[in-house]
Amino acid sequence: MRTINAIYTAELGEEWTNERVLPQFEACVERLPLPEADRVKLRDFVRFQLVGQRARRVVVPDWAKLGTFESRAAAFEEGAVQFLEALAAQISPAADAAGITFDAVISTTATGNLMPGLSYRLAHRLGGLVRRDSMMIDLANVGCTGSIKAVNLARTLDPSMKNILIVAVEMPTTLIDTGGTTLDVWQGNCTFGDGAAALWIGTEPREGGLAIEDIRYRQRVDTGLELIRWAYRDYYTFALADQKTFDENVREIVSQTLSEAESGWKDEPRWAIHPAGIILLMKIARKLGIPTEAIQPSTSHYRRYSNMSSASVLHILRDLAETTPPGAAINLVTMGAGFNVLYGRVRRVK
Amino acid sequence: MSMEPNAVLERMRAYFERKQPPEVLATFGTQSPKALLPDSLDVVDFILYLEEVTGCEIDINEVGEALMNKNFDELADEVSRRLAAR
Repeated sequence: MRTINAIYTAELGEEWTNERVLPQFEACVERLPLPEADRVKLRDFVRFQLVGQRARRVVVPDWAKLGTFESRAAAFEEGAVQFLEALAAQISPAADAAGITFDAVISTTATGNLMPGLSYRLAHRLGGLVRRDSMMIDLANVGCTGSIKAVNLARTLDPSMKNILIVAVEMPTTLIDTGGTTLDVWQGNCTFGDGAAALWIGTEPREGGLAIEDIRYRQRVDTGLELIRWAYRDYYTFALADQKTFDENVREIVSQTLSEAESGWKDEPRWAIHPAGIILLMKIARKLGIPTEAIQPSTSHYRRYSNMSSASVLHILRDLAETTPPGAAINLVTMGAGFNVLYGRVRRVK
Repeated sequence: MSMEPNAVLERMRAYFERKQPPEVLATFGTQSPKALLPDSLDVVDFILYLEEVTGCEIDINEVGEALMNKNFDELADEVSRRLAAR
């Protein structure tokens, strides 16, 4: 069984609270070429999306000036490099101290596209910790479930690959589209924040390690193509199926996945849940008898960072791991693009 | 399912019974949801409560505008209208 031996997180950029974002977004909505009734509807929608105290980190220095493909792609590359440097600065001393090198580097992002990929760029910053024969894989277009999919991939690799590094870098603010007129584009604008995290997964457990006991995957390619996806204008934009279809289908798929795994989670009260659709999660939790407190780590993360796509669940896991006693488990739930749900369970080993 | 606006308002008021002072409850209908539900999670909790007491699913985005701009009297009207339209 493989173990998550260390979790590294990077918190970069500037904090933007709802209070700070709202007037900027309202001004953008005022400039949109919309009939007055549609403008009022969109403005109220944005106000509602930004109600309450919530913040997000924004690495892009001036997101309001993003517009062209070039400016957005460049902002992604610049931000991703900053995140990789911040993570490498944490990983290098830890790996040196442990006397290990990495047999594989797996990266994931859904919010940008680089060639060479993130794994290559991280390895460049880790020097000899990634050998010339180490395997490097970049997962793309996987959405918010990317980091747990990467964990799932890592656990299935040959045991001769003893130490595997996973890195999730997400820069959703490079996709902010203030010229969009649809509700889903603005839901995306209001929902996301930038973030990154990395995991060291090993075959030999270390102190504080989290054994990966279970990961279950449920995809719905039969019905889920339109539920969450990228659309595009000058760049990629966040798109959802109509709200009713989205709510019904997502709730059904997440509920089914968790019901099937119930024997694994019912006696384990710690949950790292991807902070998407808090309403949905609260409804599902009520339905399945998961206590409201179980959602708390995710809601706390959401208040502070919003939704960092695939990086969020790793931040939440790190926070939970610090207070989890040996022998106790943490349940993982992520959901996203197309429609996929992953349930996982890790257990503190010592 | 249908429910008169006054009945919806009474159930809304019950949610705030031990959360708000008597002077706020005395003028509950004219209070702003935005003021009494300052956090997005408070809003979610309130909507889930409303779903339970009305027995009907409420699309939070549909009532979002009323939550932001109207008072509880007007919100109760809105919810009552939406329940009757089901």
